[in-house]
Amino acid sequence: MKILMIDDEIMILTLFKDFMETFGHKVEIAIDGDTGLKKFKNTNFDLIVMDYRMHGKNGLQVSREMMNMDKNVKILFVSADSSVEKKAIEMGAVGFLLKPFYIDVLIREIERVGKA
Amino acid sequence: MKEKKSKDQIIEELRQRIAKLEKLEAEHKKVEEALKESEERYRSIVENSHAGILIVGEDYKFIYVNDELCRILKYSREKIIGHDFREFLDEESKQLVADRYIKRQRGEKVPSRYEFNVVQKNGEKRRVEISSTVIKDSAGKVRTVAQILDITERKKAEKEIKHLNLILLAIRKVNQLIAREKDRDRLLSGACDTLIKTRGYYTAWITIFDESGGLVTATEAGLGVKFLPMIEQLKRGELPDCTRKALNQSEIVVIKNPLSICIDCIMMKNCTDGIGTMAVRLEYGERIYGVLHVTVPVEFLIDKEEQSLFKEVTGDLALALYSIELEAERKKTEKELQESEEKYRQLIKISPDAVYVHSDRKIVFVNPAMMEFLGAANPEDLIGKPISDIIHPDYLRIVEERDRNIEQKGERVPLLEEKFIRLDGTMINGEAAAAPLIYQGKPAILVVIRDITEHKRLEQQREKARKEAEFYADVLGHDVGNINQIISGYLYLLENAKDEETRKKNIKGIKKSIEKSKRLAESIKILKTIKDTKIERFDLNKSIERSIKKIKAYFDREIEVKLNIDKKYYVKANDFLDKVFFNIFENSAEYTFHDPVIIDVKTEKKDDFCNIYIHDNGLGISKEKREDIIENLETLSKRTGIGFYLTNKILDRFNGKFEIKDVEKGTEIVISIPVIS
Repeated sequence: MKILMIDDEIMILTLFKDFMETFGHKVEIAIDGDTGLKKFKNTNFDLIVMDYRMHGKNGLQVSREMMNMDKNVKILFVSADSSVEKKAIEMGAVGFLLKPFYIDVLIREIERVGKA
Repeated sequence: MKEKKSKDQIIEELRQRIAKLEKLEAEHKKVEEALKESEERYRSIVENSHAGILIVGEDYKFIYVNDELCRILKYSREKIIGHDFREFLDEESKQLVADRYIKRQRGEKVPSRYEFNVVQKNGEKRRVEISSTVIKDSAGKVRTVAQILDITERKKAEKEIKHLNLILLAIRKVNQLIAREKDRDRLLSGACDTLIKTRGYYTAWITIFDESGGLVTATEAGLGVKFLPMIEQLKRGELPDCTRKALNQSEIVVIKNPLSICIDCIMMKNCTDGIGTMAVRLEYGERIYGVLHVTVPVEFLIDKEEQSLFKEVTGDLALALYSIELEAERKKTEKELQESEEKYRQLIKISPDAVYVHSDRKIVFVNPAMMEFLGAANPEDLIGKPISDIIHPDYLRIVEERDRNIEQKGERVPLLEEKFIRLDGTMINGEAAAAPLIYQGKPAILVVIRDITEHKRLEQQREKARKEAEFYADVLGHDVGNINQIISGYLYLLENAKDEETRKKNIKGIKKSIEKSKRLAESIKILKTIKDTKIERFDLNKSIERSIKKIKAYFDREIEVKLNIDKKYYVKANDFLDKVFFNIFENSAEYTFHDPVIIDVKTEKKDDFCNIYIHDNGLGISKEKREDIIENLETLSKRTGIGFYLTNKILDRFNGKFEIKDVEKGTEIVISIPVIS
């Protein structure tokens, strides 16, 4: 799958990129919402894995803009804040992972979304 | 020798004498006729006179009386003629009239005109006025001739007029008393005294009752201690019949003969024959104050004029009582108002809330708290100023709108948070309530302001504390969550590592995350303690060098730091300055995805500050994120991480600052710290 991962924590980005790529996925990373949106405009991604709370635009704002551009976009939110899960699902996210999670959970979630 | 007269001479002489006699006879007849005519005329005058005319001889006895005298005495002429005139006089007059009769006969000088009383046949006394003189008859006997006029009715009328005049005088005096006397008891007492002193009434007493019928006061004149039993009776609520009756009717209660009517009244013993009583209630409008009682000669009781004047007196007294009551009420209200005003004046004076009054949009009153609130030394500094001088322009329109509402609806307006301008031009927050007021007779607006500076400060503190709590919660939730996530990721990879190299790489990742976690905990600790740390002379150059060394050791990457230090700098700081540089270098490394990470460090003295320019070749910081970072430094409202926040706090402690420059490539941060020369 072609995946865009957006997170303001650089170590997470690099770790997850490496990990997901070992499973055959092609991963691009963005350190904030604006960077992610730029990449989203230029490339068709099968899945967006995005932190909910970030510097600058938060995940909700970024996802809205993405959905305006592509209403079929699939967004999987990851966040350490459980209180935003409901909001994320309501606005159309395909999944929500609460940090910290074992990294294989992410792979299984990606596979589930990919089959959906 | 006498010649003998001739016969003819004698006859002639006789003829002449006869002629002379005839002439005399004729003349006599003429005189007699004239006299007869004259007598007839005078008799007619005497007989038809409106005055009683009499002639009394030397023995006190009537010789002649005309018809009018008979009418005056109500006796027939026969019963008068030959009788002693003293039989027709009352005892009081007998001596007087007889004395003068004798003296006059003796030729002594006595008043010819005077008054006395005669007693008619029916026993009724009549007042008469006599005008008398003495004559001598043809026999030389002295006769008293007199003319008598019945002046009883005239005297009665005169007495009535005199009495009514006295009453009028009493009314005038009572009215004068009413005009000057504002004390109820003195008024009533004075009114009673006046009614008596003018001799209009024998006694006067006034009783005043409250609305439930209880005795309020009683006063008298002409009675003295004789009135005390009545006061006791009234106190017991036992009212005399005349009082009770007077209270129940607006007409005057007239008792012509109290001796036979008021048998049970304790005041009866003060009455004598010929004295009657009048009582009338003192009423004004619907208010009945009490009753005025007077005793008066019976002859005046039935007189309508008398009653009317009496009623007029009571009416005036009632009006005066009403006026006094109104005045007392007004004074009471005024006193209460004064007391209330004084109370509120004191309250306002000591009120911690600022209070001012404005009329026509100009300040007319300020209390000490208001002076303090606006930094005025004296009330005169504010009195007379337009309110636009003290209300911040941002709030002027809404305040004027509120004032219009107050003026139009006469209602108070709720609290409004406003900004005021102090005399020194600074602004101050206040919460103001306003209400309509009449100040010095003019419509005005009362404004009460609570100084909410402290409240605002506490509110800001609370808000800051809340945001700090949120911030720390966010740091713990997000940053710690991320670290845990990274550790979790490395652990998974470690567990599934198939070779030693991968295993070592993941262990290193875990260690690095733990180190990051440790530094996060340190950062939080610094945030908590930074404001209390001691600052001292600190070597800036060495601090930069230590931080470069640390960052190179931390990252297993190629990091190239280009130092362009112009001189040796000492600043007022402490070890936490190392943390500032490390944070900035760490950001440079983390957000530069490629090696080498190039960091340029340049120092430059500007004024009393050393500016340290740190520029990297990394991703840079977007404008939006830069604004968020700056905003977050003050408000903690944005999610920007702990790094910049900590950097700002540390530099703030050193009286320094930092700035994120808008550069084309990479990130440039400028740190400014005061130098020690």
